[in-house]
Amino acid sequence: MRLSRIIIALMAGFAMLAVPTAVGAAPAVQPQPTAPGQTQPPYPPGLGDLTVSQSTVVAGEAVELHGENFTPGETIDIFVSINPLASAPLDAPLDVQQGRRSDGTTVAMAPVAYQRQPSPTLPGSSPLHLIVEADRDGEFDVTYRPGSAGRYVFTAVGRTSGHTATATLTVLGSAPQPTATAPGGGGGLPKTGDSLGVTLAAGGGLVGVGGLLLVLALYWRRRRSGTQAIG
Amino acid sequence: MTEPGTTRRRRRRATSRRLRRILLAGLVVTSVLLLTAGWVGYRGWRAHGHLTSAAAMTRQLGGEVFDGDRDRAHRTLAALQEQTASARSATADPGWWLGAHVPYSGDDLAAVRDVAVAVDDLARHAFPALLRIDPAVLVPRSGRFDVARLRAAATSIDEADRAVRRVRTRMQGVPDGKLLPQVRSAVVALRDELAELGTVTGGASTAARLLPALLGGDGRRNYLLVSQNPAELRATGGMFGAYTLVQVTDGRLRLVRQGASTEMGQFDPPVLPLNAELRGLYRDLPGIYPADVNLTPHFPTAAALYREMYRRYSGTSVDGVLAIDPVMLSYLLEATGPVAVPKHTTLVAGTVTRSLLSDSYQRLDPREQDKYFAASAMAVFNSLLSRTVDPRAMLAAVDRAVTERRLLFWSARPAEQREMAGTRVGGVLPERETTPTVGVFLNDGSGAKLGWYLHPAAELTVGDCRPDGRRDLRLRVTLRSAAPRSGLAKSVTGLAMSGDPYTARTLVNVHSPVGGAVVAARLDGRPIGVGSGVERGRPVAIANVEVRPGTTRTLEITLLTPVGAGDAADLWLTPAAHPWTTRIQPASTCDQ
Repeated sequence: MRLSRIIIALMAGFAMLAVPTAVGAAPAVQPQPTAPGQTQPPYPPGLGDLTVSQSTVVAGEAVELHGENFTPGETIDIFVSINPLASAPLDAPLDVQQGRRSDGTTVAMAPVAYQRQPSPTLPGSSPLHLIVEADRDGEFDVTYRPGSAGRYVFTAVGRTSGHTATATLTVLGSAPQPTATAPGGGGGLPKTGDSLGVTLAAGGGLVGVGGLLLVLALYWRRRRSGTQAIG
Repeated sequence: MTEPGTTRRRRRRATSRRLRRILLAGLVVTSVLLLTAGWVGYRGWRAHGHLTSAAAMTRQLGGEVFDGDRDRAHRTLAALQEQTASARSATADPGWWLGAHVPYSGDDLAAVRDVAVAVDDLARHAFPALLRIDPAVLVPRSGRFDVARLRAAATSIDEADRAVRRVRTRMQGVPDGKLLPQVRSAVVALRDELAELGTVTGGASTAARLLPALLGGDGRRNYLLVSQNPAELRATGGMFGAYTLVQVTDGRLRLVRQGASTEMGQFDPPVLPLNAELRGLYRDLPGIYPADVNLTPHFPTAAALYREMYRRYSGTSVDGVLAIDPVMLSYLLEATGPVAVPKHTTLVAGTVTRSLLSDSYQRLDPREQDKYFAASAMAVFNSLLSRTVDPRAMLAAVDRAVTERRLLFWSARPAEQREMAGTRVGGVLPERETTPTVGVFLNDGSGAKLGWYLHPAAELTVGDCRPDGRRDLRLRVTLRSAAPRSGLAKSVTGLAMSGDPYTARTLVNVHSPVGGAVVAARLDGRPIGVGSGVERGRPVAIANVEVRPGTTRTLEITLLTPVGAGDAADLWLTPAAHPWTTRIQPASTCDQ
């Protein structure tokens, strides 16, 4: 709708006052130097040091976790927290697991119930704590098989490096096989418009038929009364 | 002898008379019913004609308003009101009322009546109020916005918005479950139109209410105007490259200071607490580097972080952050005409993006670039305030920028921000949505300015229905690099985090619909591991896509909608230097 677009323009009009200045002032940000002595990561973002082979599986299906950029050979704790699928904020479990505030300060670790599992591959179980070892390249792979539906948050913490990485897995309760597409499928936008005219035009025809019948009835009535008078 | 024969004959005649009487009565009743049905049908046909004309006139009216032809617009509005009034009266007689109470077809007739009334109410209450608004009020004159006139315009916009909301509420009350397909589609189409119009008038009403205060009508305001640089992609568009501190007092603007984000350095610990969701996806980067505040597509987070960084750097707390990009500048230059920059090439709409996003890196060193950008800013700023610019051309440029999400605003005042959040300019990643929307957000991982050479495309297909009530979604994202194989300046190739200075590393963040899920990813047909997390109720997968010069990579992602989603889906994309090629394929409704 053209009018809508104009109103959008009206709505945004206030913003244009300053626009040209800023656009013109679009200098390139040069790669930012990291101050000497700091251990901050470089500014370009990365993929994250803990990845999953699939981000959604059904309960009982295995998923591969891959970790990297840990110290070669170090022991890594992987904490797992499970939230209901409906719960959006993940703050509480992660903050507890990390034991660290977002400003970098540490807090006391809250007591968490978890079981120690010596083996990285745990078919058919969903432990809340795994212990793995990084290889010579500082990487590890582990298979995890969640037992029930929920949102699983994995937090890997290197014991030597203190390096932390997280990944999230959605676990559905039902089988993922799709049903057939709804009958009459094939996509396309719903039809709108002129067929309504056809339906309503049929009404005009009905007026004609009704009128004809009425005339017929009146004629019959008159003929009948005429016959009676003669008889 | 004749007695029994006569009696028989009489009896036969009586029977036949009774039969005739019954037949006659039946015929009369049928005739009356058919006549009524026919009459209602005829009236409906007339109403349909009027409504069809009204729809065409509404489009015409939109065009005339857009062209600024107010006289013709008023004439069209009068004709439109005549049509909608006729449609309303065609569905208002006793026959129609009677028909609306008949089983089976009654609800269809009632719905047609509701449509006619709704359209007539729009024509009588909403459109006239909108016609009273003069677009020129939104353009500065002699370097100043007229705050008093803006306050006056707010009244008209609010009146139109209230009318639209009334009609919308009425249409939402129309039961559409058992309607004829044709009537149902008309009801649904009108509801969609009203939803769109309501979003717009609601946004306009909000903006008009806020505008006088935002423009310093109630006291001086300071804003940071940041330029997103799509040469180095970020989720909301591009890295926040340069900033301008703008002061506005009673509608009059003043440039206070200009600078580059790099001057602010970095912050450790992060300037504001990041929640666990953000840290999981982006680590602490958005709180440390001004260059990373908008790794998240949720603009309010980016703006709040940038404002705090600027406060720590300069000591000044601004009232809000406004973001724009060079592509928007090209739209504005179409309205202002070419703008000369002292000692540099003249800025022209057709070439400005190339000049700012590509050429400048090749021919200038970083210090000269800053000077060039500052000079460009001053030149365009002055031309906007000094030239007589056609308000409609200017509004069309702004409209396009808003539609493409190249213009974003965040207010540091919670009451204002609550109102801004519902508008497209607010850049809020919604936590609730009616149409499942998949976000495809690009973050450069190379530490380079190769974004100018990337050509993105996305195709979203709504797939099969699943037993759990969700639907499959298939997303196909392709990135093509038009970068040369050699000859780029060091300021373009930057940190070369991909290992090869000419290979662009892009982190493609795929945000599932609210309550949906990202299932798995394949790059060029092979399964890949992905970074994962959740942001504002949306599961997110992050894929690393590295594109060599002259090649194309294809990322295929399977997703799920939430339970009970319809047959439509939508895309939300990072506005890039070059436009996206997109395609969305809806599907048929699932049988429940």
